[in-house]
Amino acid sequence: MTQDAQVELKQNVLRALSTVTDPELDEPITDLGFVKDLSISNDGRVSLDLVTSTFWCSPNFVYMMLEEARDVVSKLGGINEVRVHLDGHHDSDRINEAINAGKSFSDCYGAEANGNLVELNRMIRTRALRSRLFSMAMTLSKHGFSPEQLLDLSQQDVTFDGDSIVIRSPGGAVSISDFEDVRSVSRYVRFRERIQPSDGPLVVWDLDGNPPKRDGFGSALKEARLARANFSLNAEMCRALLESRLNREQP
Amino acid sequence: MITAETPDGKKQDLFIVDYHFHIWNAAKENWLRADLAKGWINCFYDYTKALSPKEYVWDWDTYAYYGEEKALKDVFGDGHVDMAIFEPQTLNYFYHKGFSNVDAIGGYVTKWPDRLVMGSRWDPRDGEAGKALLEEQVKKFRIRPFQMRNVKLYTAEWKQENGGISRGWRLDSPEAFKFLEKNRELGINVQVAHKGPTVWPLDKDAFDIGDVDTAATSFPDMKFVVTHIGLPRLDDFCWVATQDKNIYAGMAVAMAFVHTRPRYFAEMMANLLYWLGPDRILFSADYALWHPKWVIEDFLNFELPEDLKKEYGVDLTMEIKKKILGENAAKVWGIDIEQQKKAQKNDALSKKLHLQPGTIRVGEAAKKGRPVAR
Repeated sequence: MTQDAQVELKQNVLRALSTVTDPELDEPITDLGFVKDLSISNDGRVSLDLVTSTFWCSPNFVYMMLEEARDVVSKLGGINEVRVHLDGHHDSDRINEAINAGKSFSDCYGAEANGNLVELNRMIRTRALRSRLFSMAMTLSKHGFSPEQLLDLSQQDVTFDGDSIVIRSPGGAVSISDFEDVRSVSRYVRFRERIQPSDGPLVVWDLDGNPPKRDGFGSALKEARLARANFSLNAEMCRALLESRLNREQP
Repeated sequence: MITAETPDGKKQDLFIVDYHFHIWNAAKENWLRADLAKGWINCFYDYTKALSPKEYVWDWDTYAYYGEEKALKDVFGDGHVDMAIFEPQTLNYFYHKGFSNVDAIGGYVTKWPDRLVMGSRWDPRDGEAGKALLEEQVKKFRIRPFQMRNVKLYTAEWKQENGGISRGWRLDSPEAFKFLEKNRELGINVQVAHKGPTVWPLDKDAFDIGDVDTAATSFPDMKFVVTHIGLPRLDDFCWVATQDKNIYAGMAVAMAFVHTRPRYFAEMMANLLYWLGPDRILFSADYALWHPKWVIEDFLNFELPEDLKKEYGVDLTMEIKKKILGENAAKVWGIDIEQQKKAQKNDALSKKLHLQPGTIRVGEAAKKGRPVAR
């Protein structure tokens, strides 16, 4: 592999990793500083060093994150093997071994677990969806959309145009170009794209694509506001903890 | 005893009760499983450093074991606290004599019974022996009406069992319910629930407080304090506490956001006031994670930003701060504040530490560059 090809491949790997979020924080592991080191050999073998903000992060969410990191990188062209190495976690050895052997969570934990992580994953992703929905609703209210008007939009009404977003509405097209506003809307839209039906209403309330009830949408948004507050508090705590952790002198 | 004086000249006498206080021993001699014991105290240390003003961060050795004398001076001498309630965290799988064990706590409380409040703990996996021990502790330590009224219930406690390891338990299990019945019989009516990163089974969300919900509904005569307001599941906590009026928001850990993360702290307070109201929020600095002096002074100086006041329709007035800092906990534990003020006047600790009433001028500290909410 030429040096250029290797640099490009590394960028692709990082881009893929930036789609992996810490499920409890709903932020990319690359932004959180969890990717400590990344190396790619000439024959396309990737070695990925990860760290979490504490020694005590819940094994189940850590497992989800590592599995996803392994899978998104494995799918890339030019990659032949992915080895994940989590450092400084109370269950590092066990988790690393299982992830690299392709085992499921329940295989890794046997009698200590009561199955796989499907239900837990749905719980936390549903909250992420609602949290992102709240942020988008706040942003769009600045651009003249009431919460109820959002319920009339379909996915096709939102299009990306370079660094801007254009929203088609009965009152005419609204273009949004402020960086933070674009980020807030696109975080929801990107999440929404992975939920079926892909040509349905813009606003959905769960991972099955069901829309929220029009009547209680105001109070539903208050629940969503709480989910958003929770994610942002946790993410802030974890960023602060990781910073402390990396700067700590070992006793 | 401190008085808060606001710029309009109004004075409020405060009686401060910290519901979540520790004297721990994480010194190396006490490490049973070194990796875990070290991982535990280092994680605490990271929390401290992450949220404290720099001048309040101690060296690692002092942090691992600071002892009774320092704790008394920090909390009651410099830290404005009038009463502190112990929440033992045994962690017997990690530490030889436990991280903060009940016997040691009993010794401190017997010496300072009008300042320190005894709390015990139990683990449903201890069975009958655990219940017998609890009975003994009540006999020995109910030396004031408010003593031995609470247990800390840490559901992520690891325990050796049948040659393997059990990494947690649930508060809604039949075994736990038997202990809750025992608590009722013994008048231990405050359950301080605390979640950690593991639980059985491991595929479930360790921080889910569904089990506290079930227990609180089944024991409506008891009070359940959820430590660190359910974080990292503040959302679950608020929904559950909105339903169950016998659930309280324990501010340990959450409180410390006030200094370096005031905007996050503001959002947290706005949500608690919106969902629970002002009567079920309990202050703690979680000593020795954070020093109560700065936590209390920053909290007194803290104001909810206007946008959040408007968005949530709530406020954090001095009257509400007073409730959070002490009156709410006093009600939960059955502490008669006026009687305690009398009991504390010229008590042994007042003499030992030369305690004097003090005044904190609220608003002035902020002018000197202390952080205010942005």
